[in-house]
Amino acid sequence: MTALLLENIVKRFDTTTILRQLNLMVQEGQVYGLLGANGAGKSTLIHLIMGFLYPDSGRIEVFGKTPAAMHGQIGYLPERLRYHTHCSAREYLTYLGNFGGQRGASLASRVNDLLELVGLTEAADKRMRTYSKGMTQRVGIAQALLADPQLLLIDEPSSGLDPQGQIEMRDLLLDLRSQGHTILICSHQLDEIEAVCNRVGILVQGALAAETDLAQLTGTNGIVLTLKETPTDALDFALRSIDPSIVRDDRFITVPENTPALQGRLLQLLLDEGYTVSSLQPTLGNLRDLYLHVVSGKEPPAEMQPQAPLAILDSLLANEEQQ
Amino acid sequence: MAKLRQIWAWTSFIWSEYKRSGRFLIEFGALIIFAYVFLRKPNTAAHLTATQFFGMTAIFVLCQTIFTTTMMAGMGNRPQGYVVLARSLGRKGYLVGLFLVAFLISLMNLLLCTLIVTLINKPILWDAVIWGAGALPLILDIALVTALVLLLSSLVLSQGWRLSILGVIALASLSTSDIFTNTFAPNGSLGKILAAIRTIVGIPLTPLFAGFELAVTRQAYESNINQALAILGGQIALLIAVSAFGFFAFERRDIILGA
Repeated sequence: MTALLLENIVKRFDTTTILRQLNLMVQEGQVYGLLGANGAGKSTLIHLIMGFLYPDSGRIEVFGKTPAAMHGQIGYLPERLRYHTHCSAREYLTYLGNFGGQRGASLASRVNDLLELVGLTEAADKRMRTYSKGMTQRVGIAQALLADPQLLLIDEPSSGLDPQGQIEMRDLLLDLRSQGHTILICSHQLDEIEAVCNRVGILVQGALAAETDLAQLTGTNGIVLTLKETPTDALDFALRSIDPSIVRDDRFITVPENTPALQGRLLQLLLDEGYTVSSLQPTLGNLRDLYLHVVSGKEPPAEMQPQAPLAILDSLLANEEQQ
Repeated sequence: MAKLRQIWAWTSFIWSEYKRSGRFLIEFGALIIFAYVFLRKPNTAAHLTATQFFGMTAIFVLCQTIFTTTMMAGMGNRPQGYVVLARSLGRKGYLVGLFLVAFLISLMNLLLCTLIVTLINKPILWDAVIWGAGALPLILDIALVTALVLLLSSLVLSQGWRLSILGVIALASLSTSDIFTNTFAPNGSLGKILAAIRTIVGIPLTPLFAGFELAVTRQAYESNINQALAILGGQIALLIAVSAFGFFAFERRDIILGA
């Protein structure tokens, strides 16, 4: 199921356009990392999903509903979260639970569970002004999970944390991922996104410039060929006979480990079968390569170019029909 | 019912934070000074009347209401609010909580003024009926001023709207000012146009000023009870209108806290 859908989102503040025709889709159970430089529009995007801001145009759906209809069912950890530091973590979470409509013994039990999850049981009754930044961020995760939300939005989770705090935060996010939470993480920390997420999008000047599953970023010296024609299934058989690791997706053929000999045989095969190669590009080995490639203003590989949500939905429906 | 419980939880939280911040000491200190200067008995021959009490207390409490509500709007306009607004409490509940705390602090100040004056300098002909007749329109005025100040805060309205409404209030308030009649000849074209505009824009605020007068003099209760009831009704109607406008504006605006 689609957890989050943003379609053609435009957001302006006065004369400055922050988000331009942004399209994004997050599937249920996915941990989606949104990368971007400061000012790329990441926090604005989260505020739009939370309903704090309204888009100038476009559509936002969270589990098929408007953000307003999902009020209280989206967990949110803001960047540079500031607390009411006169409280202890337990008091704070209990107060927030009350605002959210939870009460009594069930709330107390939920608060205890969350304090244990984030490793704050021992410090639960100390005032938050005595907490380290790492502990404070963990309270932030706990408050975001309080209402057992269907979707978690986390803005710069490791912002301002020391290395120890960053490691703790990463472990906590991995725990949440293993529990099947749907999470959208905004960050400019590449290693954090690479360690925690299974899909990543790169936001450049308010638009999604590239989007890919992290599993696709494994090769170091691969190539991607783009064909002009849409191949038949017969080509797959021929490709596998050359090298079983070659993957075809629509008009894109990915060779994870390329050699000159393999490349020559592949091009000969395509020529013999009557296909025209419109482009041949090296694969981007890791997230860092992809990020630097995209923010420098270059086009990402064709298979990593973001699609409009309707196009994605169409392809998903087509896959389901085939199955 | 669940919504009311959430709002009350938020109200209690804001109140506890206000208390712990020590800001309430400003209101308390002002109350002590006010009571010492204006409410104490200066000599045995001096007698305070209910009109004098309400005349002074109304001005003090309404000024304090403006201060407290400004503080409250500031507390609501901090980044901490994002975490609260993300809950099912919602935007309306958030605003109602801020309103309630400011209103209850002012109400408490009015009650304390009453208690102090009753204990140390009881006005002549002072009973529950006389106090109630003055306190009721004053309490409605406190609620109205709280709602107005919250509406005019940067939390609720954008700058353009705030300036426009402040302009209207300023124009309406000129109706009894000599500056206006001295600057523009009342019989000149400009004077007539401005007088007409002034009358029109002054109408919505009439219940606020009439409520103040009713609280201080309480004459309308004796001379024309229907007029007194109309003033109270007007205050309630204006309170509903201002609150509805506040909710409408806050629901529709982009929230950028602490900007």
